[in-house]
Amino acid sequence: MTIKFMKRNVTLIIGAVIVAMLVLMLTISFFYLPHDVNEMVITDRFSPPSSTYLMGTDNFGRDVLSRIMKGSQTAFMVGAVSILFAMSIGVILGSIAGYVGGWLDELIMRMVDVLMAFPTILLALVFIAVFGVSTTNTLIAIGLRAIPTFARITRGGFMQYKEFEFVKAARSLGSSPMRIMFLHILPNTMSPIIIASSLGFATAILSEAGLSYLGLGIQPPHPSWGSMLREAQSYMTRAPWYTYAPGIMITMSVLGFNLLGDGIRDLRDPRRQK
Amino acid sequence: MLYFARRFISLIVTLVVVSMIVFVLFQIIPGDPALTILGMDADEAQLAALRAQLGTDQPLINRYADWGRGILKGDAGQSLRFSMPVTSLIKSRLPVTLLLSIMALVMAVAIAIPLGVIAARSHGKWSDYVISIVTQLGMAIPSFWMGIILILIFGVRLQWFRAGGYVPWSDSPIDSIKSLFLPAVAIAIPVIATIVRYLRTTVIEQLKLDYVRTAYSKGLSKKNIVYRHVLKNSLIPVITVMGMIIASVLGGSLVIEQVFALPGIGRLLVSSISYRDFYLVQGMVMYIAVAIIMINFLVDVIYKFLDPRIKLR
Repeated sequence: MTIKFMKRNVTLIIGAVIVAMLVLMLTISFFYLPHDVNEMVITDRFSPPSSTYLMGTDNFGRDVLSRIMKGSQTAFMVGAVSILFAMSIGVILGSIAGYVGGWLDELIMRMVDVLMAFPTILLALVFIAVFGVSTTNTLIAIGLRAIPTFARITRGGFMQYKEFEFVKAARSLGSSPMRIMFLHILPNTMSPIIIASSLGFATAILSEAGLSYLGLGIQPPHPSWGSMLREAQSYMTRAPWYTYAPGIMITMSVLGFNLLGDGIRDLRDPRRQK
Repeated sequence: MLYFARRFISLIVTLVVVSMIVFVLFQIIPGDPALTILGMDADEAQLAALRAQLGTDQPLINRYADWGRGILKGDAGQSLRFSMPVTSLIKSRLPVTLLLSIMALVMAVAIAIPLGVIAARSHGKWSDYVISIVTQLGMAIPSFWMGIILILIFGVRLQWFRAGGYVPWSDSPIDSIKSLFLPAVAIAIPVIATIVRYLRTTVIEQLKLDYVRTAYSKGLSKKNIVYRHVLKNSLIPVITVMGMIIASVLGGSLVIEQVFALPGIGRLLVSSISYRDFYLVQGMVMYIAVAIIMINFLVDVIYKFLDPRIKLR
């Protein structure tokens, strides 16, 4: 990696470093946690950060650092599952809209436009209100709002590529529409989809934290950064340090994946570079 | 004119489709409202009477028609928890959310426009990097955490503002605005970051165009060009995302009301979901959806008026 490359892609590098650190923390959390996440030491309630409890303890005397680490599993799980869900549905809808066109395209894109007008948190709240509070519903509720982005990107790619020579060639060779769509066109639209996944991952983490903060996302005793903030707020005058760690973790995750997404985009499209 | 007619028809269709979705969604909820109200040991005759009164014994189409007519007339049924009409509950909570959203929006636009121009003018310099890092941070910090931090600093430590709660406008307009100031800041920050990033890109693109070179050769100052010519053209694309921005302000206030214990729509919605007060949730969701769809419609129409280069089809 040359100095020149690094200077040109600051965004990408900072993003990649932050994400790498988060992944490291996630990996460690599977093998080692300083304390049990649900172990309550009542005598140690609200201990400020110390050598025993690096980030202090919460209102039940549970180790904040361990819960933060375990919480990264929740955040990554929500990000990955909801984005995979949104991607699979969005890509299928977008491919159909872009390749087939006509009234089907009109119908799908109108639906996508309407869905896009609503804030993520509102759609998620509606979904949770109807189907109830559960981890699965949190994942679907957050994934739902990410569908439009993937559908739009895929449709754009399909509209662009379907008139290309290689597609016409494949068609004249008698390839089925399915084969053309998924083996010839889709691989070409992969890079914007990867960028959108990274940005969507950030949004998903933010939305999960918001829902859990409202008490309608991941339920206790399962550690989630959002629900930790909810608890921390009740005791913020007594233990202000408890509000810092979860907030910083959410911010860093969102920042990392946003920068990574933007960085990849700059890399793919030199015109956008500074 | 044809454009407006088409856009209007699509508005009506969207409203009908969204209302159908909202209606059908809330039919999926398991459970019988009559049973919820009367309790498990109510006898069958009482239940049937209440079902007839609530209209839940009617076929789906009839119920949708009744409900839709009610929504149009401002009657969205009774709240199960408060035993009050849904619309009067919404009306009593609306001023808080409305004032909060307007404050956040005004704050965001007033700060973001000059900042966006500054960012664009310093394109490639160190201050551009600083602004770009700050805006990335602004988008990444969750607004509810920002709210908590603001309470800690300005409410608890410095005691400049109340740490939460709301003073009604009728009691004292100044205290009312003061009680909404910190929440408005918390909502505005990510919105400012979004607008700055957007505006920065469009101003940079505009600065490369021919008319800017013409203006320079006429001897106009850079400041004059940027603020009197470029800014006007750069704001047009920003208006297209205005609908999205207003929606995100509304979404932000749904969460922030919780942080600052403000008696607005957002807190009512969240607590109604927890209490499973479905008529209230359904009514609120429908009216919020109508508001968002109408705002997007208005933004589209205003946009077409503002930019004569866009062909009206």
